[in-house]
Amino acid sequence: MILLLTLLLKTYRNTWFSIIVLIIAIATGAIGLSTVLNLNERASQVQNVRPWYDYTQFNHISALTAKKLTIEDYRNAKASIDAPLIALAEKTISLEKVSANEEKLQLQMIGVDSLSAISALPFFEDNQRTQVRELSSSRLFGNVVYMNSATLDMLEMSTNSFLSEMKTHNDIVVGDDLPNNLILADLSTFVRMEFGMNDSAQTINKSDTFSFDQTQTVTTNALPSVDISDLLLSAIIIPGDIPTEVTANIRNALPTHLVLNAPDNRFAATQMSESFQLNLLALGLLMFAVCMFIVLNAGNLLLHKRMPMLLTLRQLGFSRNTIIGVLFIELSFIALVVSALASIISQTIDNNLAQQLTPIIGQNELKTPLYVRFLQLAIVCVASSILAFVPSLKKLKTDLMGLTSESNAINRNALLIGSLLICMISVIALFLASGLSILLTSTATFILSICGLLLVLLPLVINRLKNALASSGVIVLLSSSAADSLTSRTSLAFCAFFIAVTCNIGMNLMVDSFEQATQRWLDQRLIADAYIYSSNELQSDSFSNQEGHTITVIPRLEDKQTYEGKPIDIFSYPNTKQYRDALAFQEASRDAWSLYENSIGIFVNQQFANMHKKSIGNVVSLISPANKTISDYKIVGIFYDYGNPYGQVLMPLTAFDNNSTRQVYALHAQPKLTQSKIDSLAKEKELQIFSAEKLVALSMRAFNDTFLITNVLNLVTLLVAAIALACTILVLMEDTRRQQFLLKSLGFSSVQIAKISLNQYLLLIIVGLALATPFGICVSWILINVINLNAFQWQYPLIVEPMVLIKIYALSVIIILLSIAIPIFTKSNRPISAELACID
Amino acid sequence: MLNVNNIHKGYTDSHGTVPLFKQLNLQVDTGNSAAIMGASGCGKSTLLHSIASLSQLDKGSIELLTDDNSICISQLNQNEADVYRRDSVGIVFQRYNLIEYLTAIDNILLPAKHKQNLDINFIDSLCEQLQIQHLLKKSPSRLSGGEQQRVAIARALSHKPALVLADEPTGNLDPRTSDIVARLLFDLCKETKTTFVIVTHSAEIANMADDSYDLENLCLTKRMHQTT
Repeated sequence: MILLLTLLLKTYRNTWFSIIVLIIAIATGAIGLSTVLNLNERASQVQNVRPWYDYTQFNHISALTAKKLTIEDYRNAKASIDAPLIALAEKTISLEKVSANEEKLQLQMIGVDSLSAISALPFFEDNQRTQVRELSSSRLFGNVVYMNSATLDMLEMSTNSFLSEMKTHNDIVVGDDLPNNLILADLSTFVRMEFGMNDSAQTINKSDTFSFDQTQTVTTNALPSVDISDLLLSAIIIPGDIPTEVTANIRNALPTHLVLNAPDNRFAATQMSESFQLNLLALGLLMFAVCMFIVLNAGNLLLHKRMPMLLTLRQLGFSRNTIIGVLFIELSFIALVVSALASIISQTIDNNLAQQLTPIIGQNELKTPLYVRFLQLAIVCVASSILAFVPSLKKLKTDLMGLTSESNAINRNALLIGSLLICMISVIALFLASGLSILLTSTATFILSICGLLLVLLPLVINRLKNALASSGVIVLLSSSAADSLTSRTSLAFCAFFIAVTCNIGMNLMVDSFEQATQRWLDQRLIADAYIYSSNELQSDSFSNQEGHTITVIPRLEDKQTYEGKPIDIFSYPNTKQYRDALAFQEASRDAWSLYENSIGIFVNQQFANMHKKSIGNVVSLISPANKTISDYKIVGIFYDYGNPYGQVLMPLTAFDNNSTRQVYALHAQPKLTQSKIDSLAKEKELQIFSAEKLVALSMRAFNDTFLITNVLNLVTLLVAAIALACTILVLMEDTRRQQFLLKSLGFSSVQIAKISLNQYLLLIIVGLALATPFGICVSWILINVINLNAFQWQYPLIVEPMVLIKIYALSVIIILLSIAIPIFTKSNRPISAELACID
Repeated sequence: MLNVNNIHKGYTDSHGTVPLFKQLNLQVDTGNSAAIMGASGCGKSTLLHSIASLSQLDKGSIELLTDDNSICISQLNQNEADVYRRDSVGIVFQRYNLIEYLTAIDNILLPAKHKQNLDINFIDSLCEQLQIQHLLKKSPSRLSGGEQQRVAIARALSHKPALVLADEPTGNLDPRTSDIVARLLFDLCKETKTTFVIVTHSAEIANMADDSYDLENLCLTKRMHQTT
């Protein structure tokens, strides 16, 4: 074994190219996969570790704009509402002259009524309970504030006296699961810091406690000058799911200045969604698979070069199994070393990439240690490389036994039947299954099964083409005949190329259809001249005195509710002709608008209909935004609402009352507002005003940013497939050297021979692209109507835009030609005297 | 007429330059044949490759004079050499003679199509004389060694070259097949008035040529025809 390994090592001088290709292939696949895993890990942390003190994730009570939520409100709510309530207060602490480098530091302090929180422990998620328990127990030991070590270090180094003052009244506990610059405390500690610490005259005793409701401990030793009724709360949390009836009761019980808010899961929506993570992982795996095709080709190249030596070794008495075993050991060692390097490189790439992708994946640290990632990669790389090497070794086995390669040929009929069967099973699974993972696996299986079909179809199509071109010129005849003979030897490399192109067509058509649908939908929907986004209430006459313009302001009234446990938005939508024309329906009943006008019917978005399995004519019970009672509404229209992950309901303006929240206002002007007029209005009114055109542009920019990663990965996959093909061509160029010499002896010039080589590969590429097109369209249909529908609950029409296909064709041909042109021209240009050796 | 005048050729190895031939001369009249014999490694094939412009000379000149023109082979640049091989030369190698992805007939037609002087009647008669009509649609891998060489001969003559060069064309064949193939080659060249140079180890085949030479001591020595 060691002797054989030493001999293999000595061949590296002649086989360095294959070894390098092998290393690059494994490294590219491993780095790609590892980077995707790292990015996904960061993104998933965002969703998994949402801190429990983030009240927006719960049903919560808050004050209306410009109104206050006080301790008194909390006490009253506790008395009248039969649900667990937890008060939460927030404040921002600005520190001056923190250090020589930093002049200012802003700390956020959150105080939570931990005693109420501990009573509501069963309503929290499992991973939040420990944190709640910890904070609640601190209340028993006096004043405790939590912050992470970075914040504590910063405060300790600070020249500001804040920390020393805080330490005199509180014990500081380090909690490294807290973000930077956050101080978390029990509400009583928060009160002391709010009312006592900043005023030395009113220092509150460390053992003081406060009553936040009638059932809790009564204040002891509190200074009479401290009135905690002045304390302003940010929200009152109601953890756990609340049935619709209870929601209605709570709304009724609340005073007019308070409002019940549904959980806001939009936090997660700004991050990379689960389906996008799966999409990224799927692309990562696709890239890895394509890389393994390169390993396969590089393995072929390596064995081809080593074959004379291996045959001699066999003649010298080394057993076939020993030779194959040593080759496996060599490959495993290479894969192991490359995995170690790949895990380090991918972490560096990930660190850089994560900064660029912060808006999509958040700002989380990687938790998986480097050695764990290395072990994961090592297992995957060694196993996959060995698997990819198996076909080459099978060929080696027959060569070493002196068998003809025909005995090892693929049984085309078996392959055709097998591929068709797998294809059918995956299609059935796509129509019947519902889980996203199963659907993505079925899509991958579908693509792999059509690869099997390619192995059968490609030689047939090329053979037909060759026959059709038989009467053409010499170059065309030689090119088509060579391509025909090459199909069996290049089909595996073409599989990699085929997968890459099929996925590229599928993804690009999907993205293009989505983009076109979104653009059309936005253009149709955004009919106002401009839109104002403002948390402050605007009066309808705010824009009445505009010179030369008559401006009408239409507010979008909002109500947030949950329906069957899922958050929904209820928005007002005007009933005018202009607005009727602007709403694009997937489906609507005939009398939709008259029922809508009378508040009998409502419109729901596709997401709502698909999520809750509702269709036209179904009745849903919702809390009326106007009178806060449960009412039944008939669904009379299902409208398109691209890009929104949540259910949405539209009701007429009359279904809302005057207290309804409003944050978006549509401005309709006569004559139409120009951009400069909009800008001057925004300046004059100190408001954020966007023209409809600007909103469309912003939305489309966000759209393009989101799909940037997938586009880049698509391109990388295509590049990797091109490298796989170039590797195969290098092997074939060696194989066909004698044939090329013969052509040269017949008077064919180097340019003509290069032309023949290029033509034959071009022919294969064109046939590959032609075969990939229908399958790519199928993949696109699956992505839109199965995967997208399952992941986002909405779908849009598939548009097969010829320009998108032409772009992919051009890109594929250019990439492949660029990657193969150099080896082809180099080898064709070899002087004929150098080729003479190959005929001896 | 083929004129080889004072040519020098050697190769370089770790010990320096090793000469293959020095001041070598050869003259073959149009339509005549010449056989070159000699020990392995003496430079027979190199001489043939030099005549085919597959290999460069160190010194001297090679000329091919036909009724239409005269070609100074040793002074051709790469493009001219390609044209020379396309139009004026037909080569038969010892093995690996056929383009494996073309059928027998496509192999035969290839030089004529390339030269653009396709004469189907002439090729038909060639195939008839070589008795390969039944093999024309087969791919090379399905032909025996003798069949492959007959197809190679047809291909070497199909474009009516002025010169045919054969490098041990029967080296891989059994004596009986070897004799048949060589005889066909000589007869066809004679019939088509093609100048023919053959490299062989077989004295019997050499005897079929109008003149035969031994390549020894770096130059050619005319052999007397022998009977075996």
